[in-house]
Amino acid sequence: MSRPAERVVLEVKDLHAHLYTRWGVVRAVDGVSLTLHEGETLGLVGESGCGKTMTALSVLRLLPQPAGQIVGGQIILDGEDLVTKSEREMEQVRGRKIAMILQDPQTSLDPVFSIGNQIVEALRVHRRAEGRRELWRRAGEALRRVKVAAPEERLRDYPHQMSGGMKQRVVGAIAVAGEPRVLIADEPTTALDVTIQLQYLELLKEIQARTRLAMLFITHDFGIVARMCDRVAVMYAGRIVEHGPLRTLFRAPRHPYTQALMAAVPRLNAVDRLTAIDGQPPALHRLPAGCRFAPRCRYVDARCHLEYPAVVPVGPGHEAACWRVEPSPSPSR
Amino acid sequence: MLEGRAIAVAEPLIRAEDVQMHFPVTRGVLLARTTGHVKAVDGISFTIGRQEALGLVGESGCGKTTTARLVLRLQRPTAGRILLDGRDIHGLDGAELREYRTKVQAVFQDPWSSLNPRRRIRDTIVEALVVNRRMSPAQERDRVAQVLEQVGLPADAATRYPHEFSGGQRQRIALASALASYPELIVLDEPVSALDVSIRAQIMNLLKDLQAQHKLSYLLIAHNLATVRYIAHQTAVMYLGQIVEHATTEALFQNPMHPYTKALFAAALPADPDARHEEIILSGEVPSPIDPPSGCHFHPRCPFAMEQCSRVEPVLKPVASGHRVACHLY
Amino acid sequence: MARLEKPLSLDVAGGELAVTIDEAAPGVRGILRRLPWTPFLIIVVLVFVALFAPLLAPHSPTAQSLPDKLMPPAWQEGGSTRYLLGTDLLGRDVLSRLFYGARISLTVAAAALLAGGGIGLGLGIVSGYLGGRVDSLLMRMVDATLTFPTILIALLLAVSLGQGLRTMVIAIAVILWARFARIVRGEVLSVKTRDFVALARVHGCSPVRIMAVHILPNVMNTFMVLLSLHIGFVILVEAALSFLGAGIPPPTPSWGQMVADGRGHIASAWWLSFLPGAAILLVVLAFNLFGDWLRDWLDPRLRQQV
Repeated sequence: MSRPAERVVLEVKDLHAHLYTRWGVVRAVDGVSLTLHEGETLGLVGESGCGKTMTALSVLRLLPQPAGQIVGGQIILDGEDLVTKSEREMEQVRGRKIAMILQDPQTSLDPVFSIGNQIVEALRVHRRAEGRRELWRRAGEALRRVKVAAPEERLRDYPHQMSGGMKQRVVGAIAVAGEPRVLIADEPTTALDVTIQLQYLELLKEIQARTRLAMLFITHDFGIVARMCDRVAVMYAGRIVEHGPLRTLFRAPRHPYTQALMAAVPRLNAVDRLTAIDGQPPALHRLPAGCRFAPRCRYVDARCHLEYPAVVPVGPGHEAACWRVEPSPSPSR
Repeated sequence: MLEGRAIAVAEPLIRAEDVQMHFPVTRGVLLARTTGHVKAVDGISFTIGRQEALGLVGESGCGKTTTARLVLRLQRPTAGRILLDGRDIHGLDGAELREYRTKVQAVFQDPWSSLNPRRRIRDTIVEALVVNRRMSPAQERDRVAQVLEQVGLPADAATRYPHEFSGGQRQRIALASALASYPELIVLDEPVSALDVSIRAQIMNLLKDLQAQHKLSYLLIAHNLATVRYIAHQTAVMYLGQIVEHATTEALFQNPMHPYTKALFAAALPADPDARHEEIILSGEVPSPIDPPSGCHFHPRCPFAMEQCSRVEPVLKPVASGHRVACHLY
Repeated sequence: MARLEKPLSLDVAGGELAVTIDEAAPGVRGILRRLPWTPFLIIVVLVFVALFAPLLAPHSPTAQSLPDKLMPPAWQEGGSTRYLLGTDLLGRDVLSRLFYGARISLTVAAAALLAGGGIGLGLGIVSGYLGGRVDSLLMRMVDATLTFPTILIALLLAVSLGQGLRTMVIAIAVILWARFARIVRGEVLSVKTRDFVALARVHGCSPVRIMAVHILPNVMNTFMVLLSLHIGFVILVEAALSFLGAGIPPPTPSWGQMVADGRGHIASAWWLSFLPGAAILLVVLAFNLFGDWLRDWLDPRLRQQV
């Protein structure tokens, strides 16, 4: 479901972000480029420590301080580069133009304020002029929109009085309260039970259909990707190794890492031996020369250890960074 | 006499009989009074045969982890018995208890929390042997080298500390430590859910191989259906402290019958954008186990609920060979 | 040495994110580079002086020389290079008395910390691990101890046991154990929920073995930090008690005693009180800074606890 006609909302160009730690320089984001169109969901997939969360935090300029720095690239939101903005200006962006839902609803909500107060706080961003009563009414509406039963009563509740699924709904309500253009969802359902997860994913889809949000969905679960995303970017050791439309990526993955990752997912309807990927991802502060997947790749040859392969187009909207893929002349862009 | 022997032969490794674990809920500090019970496990029975893997599936709060802790003797059930080779494990002492401690081992979910960061790998691995049996240092060394090889780690891992290993490697160490005392049963509590996809497949394959090589029985606790499918021979689905469906894994995955099981399957998203797949989106959340709903515990969320479901508690009854369901639909 | 038990996690905007770093902390060079050099040097000098006081001191700390009494430090008018930091009312060399006083301070600190800290460590582990009634009882005892003003306890003990080094150590240990026990217990509560403790029970370890092998090593970091942070405290208490006359009886030199002796002459002979006072300040500050550093180095999570 590529939608070339849709407007580009967010464009990340060759982003580099480093973390300066006791152990050395961690190249958490190492040349990431991605585009996000209005109303679409881009899945950012990868294993823990591959830099997907750091990419998201870089976009919001929320890298851990003082360790994290954006050292190169551009983040263009509606024609403006976020990298060059001051902290003051970024405050106008966060929540209003880009919102984020984190994995753990426990830490996303402030335990000492009621749900209602926290939503009102988020609503105020856009509706400074409105009175307290009006905002409170809108907060109730926001809760109703995320399908919380008896929203008016729940407004007075505190986070600890709610279940995990309910809290994550509140987090969702707060995230969209500022009517953002972009929503970054970082593993939003990992802490939830499976039946609750499904409810929540459906909810996100509904919100997106209503608001034309562009969503960057970070996950490691291919089941969620298959359900939620229009396009997928696969990340490994700080870089995007393959990126393309959902079905293309599932049907004909080109990068060996994507292929191996898909083969490693256990299925419900088969008990064939799983094809595991041997070894583990490299540490981001001691990256190997050349292709970072080379030490684990079954097709590796000498060139892979020497030089990182360029990103080449392999089909419509489909790119991969691997020496083995044959570039295909990209047709209509 | 013949009959007696037949029973002895057929006795499974583990037999849980109507096991119940109710935690009292108390109010007040000085004069605490019990105001209710959390019915974490509410009368479940199952058996695990030799070289068999039983999977327990369910969402958080369904009682699967409490069940694991009961089998591990970390908690004492408030009613019912758990038998290992026909002996009640909570009545063991002395040499028998030490025997049990070597026979039953565990691997937990979080490899960052399950290894003592201050101990060398070899000390962690041989602990169950050191505590329960007499062994010479040479024997210990040999055993450590053996199990490290069996889980696919280099021998020099023995003298290192946990922080030198990644999550997947730590889970291998945890497995080595469980294997060292020649166990018959390993309780696996979410053994792969903290691991990344590529590492998860490695460990799942390893679990399967080890079971075959060492004739192990597993009690596998998981919320991921695919994990259970891959490893378990029998699967029991738990909801609010009770088993609602129990069958061979094959039968259960071919034909899930209980509406809750169906909903679990519907929620397990296939990694395929075009997979055909039954849509059951449950409304509401899992009710509190302190005061579970009357009748069938699942009826408030059940799309097929009938009038009698709120009144009559369904019993687990066989509906096909080896397939038992607790639901009024069958 | 700090060990990384989890992937390095940094708290960002309420969410946790993990960067997996599979390497141990940097080696000796890294530690050296980050050592807090000023406090560290002060501590080294102090220990050196205390150890070799008999060799370093130009005079006996108790030798009186009335003709030389109340001589100012060498750089002041009337001072002499024989007495670099001047002399006191009885003509004793202030520098030598400071050197020997360092011995007393460190001896008291070491003995009291070992006794009080050790007892606190043990009781904290037992209390935290066993929980239940034992825990309630021990913690009420801790509360009771902590509600008494420190100096009052020490004075009472000094009066009832008689003055002397041993009394001083006992008095300070009585104060210390409760502080240690409470903080160690808190740490034990978090360690005992970790899975390796449950696994130890599955393996059949006895409670004693679990406490000794699994809990104790994992609270040692906390313990070391507590020790270093309390050295300064102990030196202060020792000085205060000596100042109040409940400490080591004269003529044994002790910094607190020296401050007390000189306070009547502060206008005419400033060096009598000021120099030992400055020594106390410097040493306490050095140990506290060192303790802070050690705490951050060993475990950043502790930052808010002590």
